[in-house]
Amino acid sequence: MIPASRWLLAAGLVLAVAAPAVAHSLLLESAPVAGATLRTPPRELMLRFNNRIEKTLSRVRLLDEQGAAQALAVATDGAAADRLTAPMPSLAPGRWRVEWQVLSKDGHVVAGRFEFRLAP
Amino acid sequence: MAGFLDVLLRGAILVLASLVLGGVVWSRLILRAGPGVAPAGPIALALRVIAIGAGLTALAQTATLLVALTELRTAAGWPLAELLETTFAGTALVRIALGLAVGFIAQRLARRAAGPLAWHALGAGACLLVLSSAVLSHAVARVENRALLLLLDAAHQVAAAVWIGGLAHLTLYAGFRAREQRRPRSVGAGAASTGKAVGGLFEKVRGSDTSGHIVGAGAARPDRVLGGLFQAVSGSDTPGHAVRDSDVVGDFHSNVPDVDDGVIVRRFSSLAFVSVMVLVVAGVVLTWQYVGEWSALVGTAYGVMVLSKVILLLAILALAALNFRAVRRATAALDGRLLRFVEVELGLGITVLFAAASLTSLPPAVDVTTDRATVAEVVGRFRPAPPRLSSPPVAELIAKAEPLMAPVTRREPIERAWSEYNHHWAGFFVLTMGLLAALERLGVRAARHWPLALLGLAGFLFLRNDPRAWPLGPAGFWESFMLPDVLQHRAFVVVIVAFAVFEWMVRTGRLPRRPWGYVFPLLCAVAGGLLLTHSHAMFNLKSEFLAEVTHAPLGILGAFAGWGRWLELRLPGPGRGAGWLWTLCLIAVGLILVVYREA
Repeated sequence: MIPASRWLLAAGLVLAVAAPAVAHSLLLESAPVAGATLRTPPRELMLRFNNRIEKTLSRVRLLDEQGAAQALAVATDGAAADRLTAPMPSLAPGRWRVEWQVLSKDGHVVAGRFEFRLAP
Repeated sequence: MAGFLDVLLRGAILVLASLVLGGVVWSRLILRAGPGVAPAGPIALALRVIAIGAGLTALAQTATLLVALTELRTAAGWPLAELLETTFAGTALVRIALGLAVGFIAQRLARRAAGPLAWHALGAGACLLVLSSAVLSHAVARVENRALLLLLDAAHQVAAAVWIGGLAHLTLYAGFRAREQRRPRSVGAGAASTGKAVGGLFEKVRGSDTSGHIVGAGAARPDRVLGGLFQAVSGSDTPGHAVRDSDVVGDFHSNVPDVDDGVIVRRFSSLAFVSVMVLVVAGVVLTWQYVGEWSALVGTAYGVMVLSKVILLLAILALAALNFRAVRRATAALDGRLLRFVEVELGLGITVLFAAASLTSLPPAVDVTTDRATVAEVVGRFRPAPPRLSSPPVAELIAKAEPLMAPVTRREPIERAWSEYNHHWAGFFVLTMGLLAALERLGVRAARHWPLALLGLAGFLFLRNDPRAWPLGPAGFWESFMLPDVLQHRAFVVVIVAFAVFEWMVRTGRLPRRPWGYVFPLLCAVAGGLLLTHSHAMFNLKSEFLAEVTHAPLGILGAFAGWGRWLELRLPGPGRGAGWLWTLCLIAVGLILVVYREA
């Protein structure tokens, strides 16, 4: 029979654990820039991360001030491995929010968001 | 929640894969198992542990795929086909297959002797299992220097697996030998053929004319033979070699190496030394690649985690150095002190592996440029300031804070004030406990009730940790469990209550010191590990990092306090040094909490 002390040791070692993932993939750069006010509607969205991204499993959507969302079609080829690009629909003046979710090459799923404003 | 599970699973995989590769190296190089060697005793034990570790690795790796699939699920459904095309899923599937194959081979080898092919397959499978882990690390996702980083990461992980996994197998081996020693002696070949090793690990036969070599069961005499091949014979330092089937002269002894424990420990000591060298060299280069400059070591969450790993590693190496010297001096070196140090090395090593898993979820410091804190800002958080003795009103806090289930993107000043008040009062509780524990150590008997102070701390934290959740806030009790932060806070409260109850009962004689005294050190070590990697930081905001930078020393002190108490309980003799170590760690934790500040 295994002594209770060994069970306790095993339980303790197994429980010596870590915490939630925070922000593995870091958004380094975007166009439009986060927080920017644009005078002309952007034609394309570009996101650059600090690592390689699995583009087929990356999602980007655009939300207007009322929270109505539309998914953007992410280009799966062409751009560099650490960048996502997507054509923008025609936007009305106002505040827009970009929400993204990416799967990095090493298997971490990370989400984020930022806003920009289109001047009237 | 999925991110939390992912880190847990990655940490578990690192530990399990270490058991596998460390076990294969242990079997082949330390126990000298190999082709033609029939498995028995410690070899069979190691192979079974390898089989279990490999199977669980496959299971945990499958779970990581399921977690990712769940996270990627959209309203359109489960993107299984797309996921299977990714580098991550492809590597995970290969690792699952490797885990199953290694588990199957190890299980077969544990049952009967096999030829070189099976052993080569076992070794290759275990190596690939650990090497492929690099393909799931930061290295594979980097834009530059990918090949170099993959190579360094693989070397780092193999070295860690051989070392930490080897420590685990050494601990298991010692446990096996201790059990053998405790078994009643049997006489004659009949008993030997049942596979029961008699005599023992730590046994020293004085005046015996045995040489440590195999003795046939037919010639068995209880005082000479049954102590057997595991026996540490005084003055014997037989270089070990595995016993081939063709060498078999007795039913039981035929399958185990004829080496004494001193040789086993010295072999492992040499292997561990080489592993640590590779681990450190690869780790230094990786750190330079991922951190980039000195200031990032203290100015980012990634850098602070690396520093924490280094401090824990230095503590392990200090123990290892003591053991190394002891092993080099001794002739038969599996004594109690050495094994107790090995247990602590293993415990801290596993904490480091989980910290490494947590590290993979953080962006490398070199990438964090805009939200990096300066050294002066970090030092400022450790500068003592008067504690808050009054709490901000809860109604105002709830009105200003974001709803519980909303993503946290900012923290209001009132939230910081609330948190500081909580930390300061928690500090008073811990400081009181530490001082009472010191008084108990100095002979004040009434101070032995110090663990009861923890019940007050648990109640305080349960009420105030998450003011937006039940009972103070609008979010329901069960609803709030969906947030990892709340879940972790409540897990801490349960840990604290268990800690208080068990330790108080042990100190007042209501429970025996063994095994119940071990609850304190293990929970302390667990809490330290949790705190070390506990993070509220979202989007790596500098202010959040600065708010939590004191968690790192608290976590390290917690781990040291736990393993200090473990040593005090386990070391032969009074263990006064270890006793004062954990007491002073407790006082230091209290002091840091009392002066904690977030702004």
